[in-house]
Amino acid sequence: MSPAMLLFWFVVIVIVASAALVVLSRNILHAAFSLCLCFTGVAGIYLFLHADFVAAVQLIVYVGGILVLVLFAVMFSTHTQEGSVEPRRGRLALGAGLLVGALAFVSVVLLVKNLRAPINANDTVAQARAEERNLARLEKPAQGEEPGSDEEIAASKARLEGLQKQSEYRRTVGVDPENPIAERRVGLGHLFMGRYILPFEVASVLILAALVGAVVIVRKETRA
Amino acid sequence: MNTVARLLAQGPDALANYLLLAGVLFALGIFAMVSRRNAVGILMGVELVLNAAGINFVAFARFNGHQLDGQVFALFIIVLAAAEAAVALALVLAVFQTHRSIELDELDEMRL
Amino acid sequence: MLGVLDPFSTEYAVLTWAPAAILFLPLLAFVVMLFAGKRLDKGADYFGAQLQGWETAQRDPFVTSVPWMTMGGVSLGMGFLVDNLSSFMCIVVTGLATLVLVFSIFYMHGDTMYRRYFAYMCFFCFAMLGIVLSNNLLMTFVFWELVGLGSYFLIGFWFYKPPVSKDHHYQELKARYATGIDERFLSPAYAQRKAFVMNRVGDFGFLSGIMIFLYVMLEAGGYNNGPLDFTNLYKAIVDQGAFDTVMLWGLSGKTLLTVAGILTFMGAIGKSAQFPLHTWLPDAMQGPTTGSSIIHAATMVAAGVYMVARIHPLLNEGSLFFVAMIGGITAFLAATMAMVQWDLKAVLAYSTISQLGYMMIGLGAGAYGAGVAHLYTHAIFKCMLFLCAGSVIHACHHLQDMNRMGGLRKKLPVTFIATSFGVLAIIGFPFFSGFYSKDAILAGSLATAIHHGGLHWLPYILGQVTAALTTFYMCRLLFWTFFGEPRDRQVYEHAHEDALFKRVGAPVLMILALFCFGFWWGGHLVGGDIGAVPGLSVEAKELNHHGELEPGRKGWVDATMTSPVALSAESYVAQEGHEAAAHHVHVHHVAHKWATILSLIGVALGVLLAAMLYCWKVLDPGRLVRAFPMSLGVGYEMASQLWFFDRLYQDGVVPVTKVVCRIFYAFDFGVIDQILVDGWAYFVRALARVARDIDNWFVDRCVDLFGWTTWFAGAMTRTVQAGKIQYYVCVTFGAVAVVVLVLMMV
Repeated sequence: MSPAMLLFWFVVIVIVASAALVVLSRNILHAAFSLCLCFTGVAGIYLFLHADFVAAVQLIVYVGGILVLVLFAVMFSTHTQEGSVEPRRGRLALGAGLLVGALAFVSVVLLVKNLRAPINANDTVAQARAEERNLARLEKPAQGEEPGSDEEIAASKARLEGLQKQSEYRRTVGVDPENPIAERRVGLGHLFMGRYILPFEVASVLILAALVGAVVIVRKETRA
Repeated sequence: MNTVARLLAQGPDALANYLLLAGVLFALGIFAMVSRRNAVGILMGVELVLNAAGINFVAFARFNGHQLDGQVFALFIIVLAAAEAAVALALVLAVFQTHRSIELDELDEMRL
Repeated sequence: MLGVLDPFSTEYAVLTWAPAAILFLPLLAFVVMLFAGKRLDKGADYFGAQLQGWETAQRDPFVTSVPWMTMGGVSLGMGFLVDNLSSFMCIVVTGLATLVLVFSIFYMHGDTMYRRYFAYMCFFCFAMLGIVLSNNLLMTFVFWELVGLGSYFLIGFWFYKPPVSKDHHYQELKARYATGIDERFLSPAYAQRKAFVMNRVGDFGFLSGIMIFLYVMLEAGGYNNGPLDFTNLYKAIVDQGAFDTVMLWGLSGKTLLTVAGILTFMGAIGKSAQFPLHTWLPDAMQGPTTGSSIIHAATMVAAGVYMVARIHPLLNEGSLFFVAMIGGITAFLAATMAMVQWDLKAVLAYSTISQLGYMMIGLGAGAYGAGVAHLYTHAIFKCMLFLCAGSVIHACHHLQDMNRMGGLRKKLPVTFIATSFGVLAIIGFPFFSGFYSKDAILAGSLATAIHHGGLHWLPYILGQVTAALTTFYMCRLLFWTFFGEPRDRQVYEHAHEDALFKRVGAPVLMILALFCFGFWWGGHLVGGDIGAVPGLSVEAKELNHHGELEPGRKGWVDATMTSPVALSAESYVAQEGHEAAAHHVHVHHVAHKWATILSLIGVALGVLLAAMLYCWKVLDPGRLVRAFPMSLGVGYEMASQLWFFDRLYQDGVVPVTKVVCRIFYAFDFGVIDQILVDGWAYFVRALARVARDIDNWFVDRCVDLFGWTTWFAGAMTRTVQAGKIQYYVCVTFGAVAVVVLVLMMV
């Protein structure tokens, strides 16, 4: 087990455990704190996925923002010391929750199991490397293997050239683990300011509306 | 069992691990949404579900040729979650101010 | 005809927007006055407007228009036509309005409805400028009605006053002899109604005329865009003879054009108080005197004249003769009525009618430029005379009876000087403005009379006689009010020009009096128009020493306007021969000479007679009348009974109308109401009973069924949507999961 592997499973266990605590804890304050832990873990998962910017945003917004809001809400909406403790849930609710949750999980598992498409179909870097190996094999076969025909070599070269072009393109706009982190973030910026400019602006308007709406909703009626 | 062992061994390099983790979060979130009595608790369930979705987006993007679009969507989800949380919590406070309670079972004025 | 302008040039912008600004500034003022109700300095608005008026003057005619309504393929517009006629009229209207409004600060001071007065005045100015600037007949008609409304407002300004027969205050102050007013009904409210109804009669004709023009223009084709635009009308009717090919009601060509012209002129008969619809104008004097000065003396009543001037090229010989005849009769009748009035304002009112008749003579008898010039000169001096009358009335504490005045020149020196200038102008004393315009009218009508002979002499003779009568009654007014011994010491002692008058009233009168001197501007208006004969008018040319035609001095008024009717001198010569052209010019010169001599003799006689009767008192009017009972006596009686027009209308037309109305009422009540309407109602009621039963026993049950079904369904399902969020979550995700599972299984 490599350290990365160990770290990964540790993060996974932390996430699942804290999420379970969120769900099960009857004290809403405890639930909120374990939600904090859960969000932090998810940020770690993002790091494993090479999404460092998303991980940072996850920490800032979720842990730093939303969670504080939740905590405030919890504090403001309890009358007594024990008020934050939820009453025991009804048997019906528990049963229904378990049923639906289990159904959801099972369907997710089934979906994952049935993922048919080759997941790295678009990983042009990997494909290019595989093609390089293939070309090498065709040109200089190992012992006891037939060298490839001229047509095969030509086709392989053409494929390789195309894949290299594609990966070159990906290097400029996409994530390539071989690229420096800074460039990846630049790619993200290009996407926000380019292809996703409209959703980006809409999202900004949405946030503004949400802020104003929240203020309006909470504000005490001062009219007589 | 063979499959489980393989997944365990692959760790962060297997897409399925991320998807299953997201599935767990999703299921837990739904469970919270359905079974919790407290409005804030339900909101926490929603946040879990949104996180699961975010993980899925980033994971698919990562394992689909290192694309960036998935990350963009994850960021949008975070934005949405922030807006939603602000409004939802404001609603919770408003409800609390009028009803002195945020137990959903007690909020039944709309029922006939 | 139109100057070609670069649409992006400043000049274009000015020409387009200036008329709009002129038109809408008063409206703005009206709205502000009416709603904001603040006292504003309207003078500023008007000076601005006037400046713009100057700006647009002195250029080629300019037309701009926006579409107003489109029906089928026909598009009617609203727009401005700015040429010499309209820009000069603009200046007159805005200038006089400014002065009158300033004067009103003095005259209306302390009135309870002070602000409303100014609001109405601004509204009136808006409407009047609309007529002046309009570029088509329909828009003219629209604003025509709006000035009618403005006039209505101002006549009935003191609407709360009782009928004069019950008004003790009025009875004390009223003129003792003939008043020209039928006291049985008269009150401001009655007068405004009367004015409105009389105008309706004229407007009926106006609208009919417009319809004929519209019909012909559409028949002629090619004028679907703005068929009633003046420029299109001129082009189609004058140049292309649109009327030659059209038949309507069995009338064709020339006859139809005459009918259309006369009908359109009916509008002017109503608005300009021409015979026989003149009776509303004296009653309109119930309004504030300053309002009367601008509306019922200077501008609105001249709107009729203005309109006739506008459509002048469209009027043919027949309708022009009609115009001249109506003008002549009006001028003469009104002058005789003015001679016997003792009410200061009544004299001026009848004098206004008479002068409007003059303008009509001028327009009808082919002295087009002179008629229009008289409109301008008259506007100024008559406006001033009314303001003077207002000043006198104000000074004498609402007394209007000249019998109780006299000797006021010492008490009201400024008013006296202004009045005498006005009187000199109106009687046509040399070097005063009226001299130029009135002489030109008389000369033109005399030339027409010589040329055509017969009945065409009548307008000229009436005009010439009226000139003398005008002199007589205006001098009578002057002498009886300002000269001689005071006839009522109490009134005399209290009369004075107060501080406010000196501050705002006197300057206004002085400015106006300055404009009564005609020698520095009147001549420029009239010019050397020799186109005196309808249908044969020629652009201004003079004979030089060799008897050749050469371009003559053109008046500013007709510099652009006679062109649609006037033949060029060359074509005239070509048509009629050089001899005829020379003869035409000769006749005109002779006419001008004789008309001037005769009218100067008339002026001298009038002044002399008035002075003998009312200043030196060597003759007694009463004895004079008794001495000649068959001529003067009958004339006096007729004139003081207003030639029985009011009687005729009040005791003749009104009862007949009432009887007709009764008959219609009976028909309406008996046949339409009882048989048609009620019968139909009974039928419908029976039908309704049947329908009701069907409704009760079938439809309602069906409805109930639906209602019950819905209710039942609601009862079944209402628990589902009672806001139980968790229930929704459960169902949603459960359903999704089930779908996924099913898909996976398959």
